[in-house]
Amino acid sequence: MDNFLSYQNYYYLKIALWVSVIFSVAYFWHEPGQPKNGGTWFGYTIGTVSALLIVFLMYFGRRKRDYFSTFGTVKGWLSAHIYLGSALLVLATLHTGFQFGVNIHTLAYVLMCFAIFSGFYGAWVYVYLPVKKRKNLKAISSEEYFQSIEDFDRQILKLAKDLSKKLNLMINSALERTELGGGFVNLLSVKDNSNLVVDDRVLANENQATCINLLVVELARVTEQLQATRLKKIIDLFGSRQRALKVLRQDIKHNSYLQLWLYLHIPISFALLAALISHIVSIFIYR
Amino acid sequence: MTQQYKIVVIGAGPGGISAAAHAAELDISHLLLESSPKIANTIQKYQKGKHVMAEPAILPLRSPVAFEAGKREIILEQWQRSISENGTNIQYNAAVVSIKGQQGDFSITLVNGDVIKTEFVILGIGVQGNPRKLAVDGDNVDFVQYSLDNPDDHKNESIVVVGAGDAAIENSVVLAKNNKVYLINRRDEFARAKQGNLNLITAAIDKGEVECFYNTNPYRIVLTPQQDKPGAFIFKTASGEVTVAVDRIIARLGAIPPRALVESFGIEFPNSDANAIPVLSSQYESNVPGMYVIGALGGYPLIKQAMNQGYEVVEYILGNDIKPADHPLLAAKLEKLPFDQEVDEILAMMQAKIPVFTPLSMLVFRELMLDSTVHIFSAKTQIFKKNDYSNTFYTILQGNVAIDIGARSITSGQGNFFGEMSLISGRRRSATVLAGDDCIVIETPRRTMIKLINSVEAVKRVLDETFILRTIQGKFAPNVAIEQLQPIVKKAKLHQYSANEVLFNEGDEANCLHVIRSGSVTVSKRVGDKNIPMTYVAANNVIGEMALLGNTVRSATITATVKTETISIDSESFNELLAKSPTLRATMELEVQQRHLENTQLEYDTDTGDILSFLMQQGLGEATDVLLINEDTCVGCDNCETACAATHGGTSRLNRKAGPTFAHVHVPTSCRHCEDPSCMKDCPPDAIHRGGLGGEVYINDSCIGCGNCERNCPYGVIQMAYPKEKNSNFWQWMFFNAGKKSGNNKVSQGDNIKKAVKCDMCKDIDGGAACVRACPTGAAKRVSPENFIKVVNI
Ligand SMILES: Cc1cc2nc3c(=O)[nH]c(=O)nc-3n(C[C@H](O)[C@H](O)[C@H](O)COP(=O)(O)OP(=O)(O)OC[C@H]3O[C@@H](n4cnc5c(N)ncnc54)[C@H](O)[C@@H]3O)c2cc1C
Ligand code: HEM
Ligand code: SF4
Ligand code: SF4
Ligand code: SF4
Repeated sequence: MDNFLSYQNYYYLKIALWVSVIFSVAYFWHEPGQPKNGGTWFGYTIGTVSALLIVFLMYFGRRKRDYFSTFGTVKGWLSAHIYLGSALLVLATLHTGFQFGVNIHTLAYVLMCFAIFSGFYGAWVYVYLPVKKRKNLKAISSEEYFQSIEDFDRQILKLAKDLSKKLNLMINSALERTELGGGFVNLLSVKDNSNLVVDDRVLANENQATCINLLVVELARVTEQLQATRLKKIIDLFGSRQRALKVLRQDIKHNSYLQLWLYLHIPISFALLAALISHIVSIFIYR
Repeated sequence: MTQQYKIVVIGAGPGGISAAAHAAELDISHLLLESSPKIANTIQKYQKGKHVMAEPAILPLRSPVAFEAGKREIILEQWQRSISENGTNIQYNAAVVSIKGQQGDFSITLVNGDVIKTEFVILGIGVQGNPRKLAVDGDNVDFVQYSLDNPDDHKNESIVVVGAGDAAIENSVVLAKNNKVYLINRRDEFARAKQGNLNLITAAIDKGEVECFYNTNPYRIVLTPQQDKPGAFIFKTASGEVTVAVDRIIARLGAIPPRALVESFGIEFPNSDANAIPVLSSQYESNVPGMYVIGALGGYPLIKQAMNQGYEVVEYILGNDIKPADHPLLAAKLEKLPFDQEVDEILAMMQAKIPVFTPLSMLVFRELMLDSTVHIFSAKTQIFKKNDYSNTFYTILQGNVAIDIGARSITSGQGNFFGEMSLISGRRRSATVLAGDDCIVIETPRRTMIKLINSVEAVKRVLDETFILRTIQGKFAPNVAIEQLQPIVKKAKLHQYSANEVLFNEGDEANCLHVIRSGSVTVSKRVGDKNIPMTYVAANNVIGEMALLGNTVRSATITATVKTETISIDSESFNELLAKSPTLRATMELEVQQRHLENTQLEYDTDTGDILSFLMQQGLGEATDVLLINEDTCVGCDNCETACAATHGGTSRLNRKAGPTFAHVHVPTSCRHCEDPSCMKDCPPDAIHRGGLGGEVYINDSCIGCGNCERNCPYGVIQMAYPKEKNSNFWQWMFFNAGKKSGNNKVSQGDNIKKAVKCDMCKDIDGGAACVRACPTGAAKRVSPENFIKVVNI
């Protein structure tokens, strides 16, 4: 089935390739009688095309939100966005005539490259992550994982009531101090800052491991049958809980990766638009 | 001493109140009997502050009691005031348990044993039924109640809730916030509850918020005047008697439908169908002379209709042959017809000319005509097109039509009907119909026809026979004359299968073929010891002909996915058909070959089979168009939901995250536009319809917010939502931060009611399904079941 890359049999990829090839050939063919740059007739032409392309790429943000529009589908627009955006790399580079410096013109070019490369990254994320995300979730929704964790917690608390006070407190703190998501870095690195309190000391409880360890040690110690089965059940429940938490952490990570890159792509795009305007204005003022 | 009246009205609903008030106005000796302690029990039970609608707007009100749209409380208060001011004689807590006698001398017995004598009886007891009582010693104390008005009225009480259904669960859970709640369940599980409620109650019981007694029966209630609680409730658990001191007992044991009671009065119903309506004369009189039926019980589901009938029925009893309030509506409808006759004469003429409608009573036919539209078509006008998704029923009053079934065109004349195929199968039109010269046809909506089929046996029979005849003619013998087909039609049989029932098994002897009339089936083959579904076949298709053509055994197992009806034709008849239409064998063999080819491609693909059976488990066998999301390409941007909200007044009609997933196929919560939509079944203003080319099921503006469809949809896709304000423009939002983001509209201020909203397949939006068009990656797709295989095979 068609996705945004293969849309209409790679229609926009073909256009992008043709445009790139034709302009490249023209670039090497034309002899302006001065060093090749944006100021020749060819430079103006390809510069205008590139600037229009950037406006078109920016307009995608509007089309995506124009829900009544019948002008193509968002999928088609994204396909065009990606391939024509990539072609822009070729066109704009040819427009520069490979003349760089420390100025507004090169700034615009660099910003454009950032926008394009962040776009490449985004496209990769869009293709690759959904599959990883689904494999991680195993056809169970994240809500269901949350619900099952709630269920485990309830059962654990019920069982823990009959354990020693110290263990009960430890288990309670382990449940309360389980962290999911959290700050930016945690999100991306899937770092688990969970901890627990035992004997008034705060211990790290990454992946619920400390808690499970403490319980296992305790299990080795108890002699009474009933107590032992209770502990075993709790350990099993913590095990299931640990697995569900791990899946959720991965899922949160996948979701954030799917979104965060846009927080680069969009501001860079706006910065590029600003730089592009300055670039064009300055050309007409200082030439 | 027994009391004696001219008219006794039973049930103080809108119908009963209006009847009794009119009798009072005319100074006729009358009595209004109401089983509950207040008027209009059905309306008392609407949610607090509900905005009551006065549909249908065009119908004038004719009643001494005023009624216009407004808040429940205000309307009830107004009715109460009206009847006390005009001297209506009402008796509360007076449930009627039996009626004996005949016109002029009825004896009515109440629960308390009192007997009342009357000449005429007007029954307006509605269809809600009476709550099932606790039926234990001492259950007549005032702290036993059968409904819960406002949970916030109760704090720090000890409350026992009895029951295991949704109402009992919902009450227990809300009351548990501020009270000590015990729940008594006769069984060991909550088998009747919705999944959501089941989760709620299990959680509440686990957390100790509600104390539940399973396998427990109520036994006795005693008063405890000396103690701080007014009474004690004693019940029998598996391990003995338990006594709980209570402030309140709430029994939620469901309602007893009124049908058995009504039958005990001598009133007959046409059949055993749960929705059947008693047969009434055009003056609302039942088969028992002197006993009249009005309102919801008589099949009129709206307040205004009930009130008008209350007025009219008193007039009829007095012998005044007044015109019903809807008379002007009918007159307007028939005005443009070229007949210079009175409304009643035209109606009688229509019934005489159109045989399907002849067996109807005048009242039923009137009602049918009120719902119907009369068209005068000029020659060659297209009435409907092949593959349209409309499902209304047409009868020819004058002239003729041309039915184009591909190979040739059949002319159908005065008195005949067409359009019954889509009406019954819920599928697309199978032919194009063009108007002939001087053509007048009556178009009747689906709901009206379904009601008719369920209540008038003769109509059902005629439609069924015609359906079979036309199916056989259309599918197998388009060029054979009807007379020649009659013997085959006579032998053909109608079958009904419930979901998951097997039509026939792989390896069975083949003795007949089936044409699927409604519902759908899966075709599966045994691979190893597993049955793997290979494909899905929708209504209006033929199955089982492969083995008949080849004279072999069945090559696959056929299973109904949902409730399915088929027409079977035995091999003998089929051979006759083959003999009659020489080209039939060739065309069918070609089809069979093609199917063989497809099957071999699919064979042994267990994954596809598994996905297909997953989709069928989700009830998609009855879908005509469903939103599926490919989880392997969905990036979770929710643009689909935003698009839906932005194009539909700010409320998204799909919930992307909800719903089950199997492999990469996710079925989000969104309408599937069912073949035979359950949501349509019980909509008082008939606001849910099925539309044109896309076949979308949609709700129009006449929704009164009763919530029936929300409850009736098995897939939970209808929501009740407040209307929202229009949104500001994108650029204003972007540059001036004006208004809300797209799809995030604010709820409108003022006197609003929640109305039902659901996916309408973007029928009013250029370009179609906004959700699909807004998905940047192409993950969201709307597909019809015939294409499941293609979607699944990616
Ligand atoms: C949630 C909901 C919302 C609705 N909203 C609207 C709306 O906005 N607008 C609208 O027009 N319609 C609405 N309807 C439909 C409307 O309520 C009914 O059409 C109307 O109440 C029918 O009136 P009735 O007089 O036939 O019967 P009912 O109103 O049902 O009244 C029957 C009465 O008879 C009494 N009774 C029953 N059995 C006995 C007995 N054996 N002896 C004595 N008395 C008995 C009952 O206690 C009751 O008071 C709604 C329905 C529901 C369920
Ligand atoms: C100068 C070049 C580019 C500019 C100015 C630009 C600009 C934009 C803008 C404004 C959006 C809209 C984001 C939103 O509103 O949510 C967007 C989205 C996107 N862009 Fe670009 N872009 C550029 C190049 C690229 C390239 C080269 C690629 C890929 C190879 C790309 C991939 C994407 C993707 C995948 C999206 C997200 C679509 C979505 O989630 O709906 N972009 N871009
Ligand atoms: S609302 Fe529910 S019952 Fe009605 S058509 Fe949609 S899925 Fe079917
Ligand atoms: S088809 Fe239209 S109404 Fe239905 S879910 Fe999609 S956007 Fe909403
Ligand atoms: S629009 Fe498409 S990608 Fe975005 S959430 Fe919906 S289905 Fe997924």
